[in-house]
Amino acid sequence: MISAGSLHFAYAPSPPILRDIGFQLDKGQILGLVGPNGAGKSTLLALLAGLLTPSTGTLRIAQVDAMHDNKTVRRKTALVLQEADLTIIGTTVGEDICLGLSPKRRAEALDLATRLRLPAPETPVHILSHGQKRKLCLATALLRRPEILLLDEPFAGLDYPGIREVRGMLRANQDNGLTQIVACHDLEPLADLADLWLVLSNGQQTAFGPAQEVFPLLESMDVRAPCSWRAGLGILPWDDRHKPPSAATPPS
Amino acid sequence: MAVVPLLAPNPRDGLGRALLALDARPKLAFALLTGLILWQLPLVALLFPAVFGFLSCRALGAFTRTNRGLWRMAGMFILVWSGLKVGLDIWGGADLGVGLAAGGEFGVRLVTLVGLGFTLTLSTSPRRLGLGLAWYLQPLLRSQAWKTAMALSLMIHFLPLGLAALGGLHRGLAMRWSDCPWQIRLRLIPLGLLRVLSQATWTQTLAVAARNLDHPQAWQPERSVHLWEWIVAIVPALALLFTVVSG
Repeated sequence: MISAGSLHFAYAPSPPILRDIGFQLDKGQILGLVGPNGAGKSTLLALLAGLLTPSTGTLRIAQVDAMHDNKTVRRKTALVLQEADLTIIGTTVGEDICLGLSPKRRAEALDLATRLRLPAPETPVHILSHGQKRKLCLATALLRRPEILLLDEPFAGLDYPGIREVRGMLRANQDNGLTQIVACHDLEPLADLADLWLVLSNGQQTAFGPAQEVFPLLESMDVRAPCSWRAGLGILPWDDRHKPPSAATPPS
Repeated sequence: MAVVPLLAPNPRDGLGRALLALDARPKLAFALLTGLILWQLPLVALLFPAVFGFLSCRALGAFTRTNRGLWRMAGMFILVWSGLKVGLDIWGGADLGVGLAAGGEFGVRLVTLVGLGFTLTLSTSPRRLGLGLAWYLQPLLRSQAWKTAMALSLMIHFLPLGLAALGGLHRGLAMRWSDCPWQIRLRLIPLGLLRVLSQATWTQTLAVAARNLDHPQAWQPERSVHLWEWIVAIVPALALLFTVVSG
């Protein structure tokens, strides 16, 4: 679904922000994108969403050459930014979720809002909680029927029920075969969901692979591994509603 | 950063809901016509748009604590301009009584204008305002009209974000340096605001692109205007115009 090789990106003539990024992701997989602040996670997401074009390298997204056809890439991907207040443009839930949709698809949008238990369409967006705003942003992204969903810090600032809801949505998307890339600082809520992990540090890819290969290296890359892993228990389900723990083995 | 819109509608009754449901295009036509006619209307006739402005603002739930700051600003605006009118008239040789009367009349016109302006802003979302304006500019701007709709919508949407950032900077400076001299405050706050807003502008640009809202199809009016909507908006404006023309 995504194939990146030797990707470089720079706002010319400044030095490169991303250097030598290469990874592959299959349909329906979840990739956890981690790294310290300023590592380049959001820039990589913008590249994958077709909002920026890599300076050099190869990038194929959903069978499209992203180096030459950003427009198609943008149609096939949806990016949910961290800043919900800047992403929500409508005045009410209904207006925002229907933005840019044809009249035929508005009913579908309102139906999705109901299924996601978003507040009534006439609810002003300024009275929504942080979690509800996040959910609204996710809903607007899903309505674009993307093949790849890119999420920038979807768990940041959410309380426990909020994290559970976002996790539920990620799992439902996974079940529906949607490929997802999730940038995050806190690995706990994603540890048992992600199939692969990519670590960025200073714009460079420092690790890529499944948890059992990447997690032992995290400490040296200024990223904190999940508590259960550090305690030698492997990857435990985040809450009691989850599928069994993955086969990943704890560090010796 | 708590972001609260400049004017938050909260319809209280049928009039409020009807105003919210009315399409932006007839509302803009009414606002434009009445805004021009208002300055020539006899005082007695002015009572009608003034009362309508008050009632519609009330029906839209404008007189709430959330909107208090904006009403205070509007009151200050009216007072300053009415005061200026009185001062300039007296300076121009008018008696005190005549100057005060002229200033009072000017104030009443401004109150009416503010009431109608708030009615329009309260009952129409930034997106619908942008779409309405773009519809009027369509013959002039042709295929580029959607950009006007997008720009206006984002501009209005950005105002509360800017105000929230400004409030945050004021509070932050007051906590960190409570007796900061005003000269330094005058330099620090605009610089801080510029820094915050430039970052926010970039993020908002990304957000609009990420939501695929940067194309004409995303900025088309959602429906056509019903005939009754035009009648409801235009007939009162024409009646006011008739009052002016007939002297």
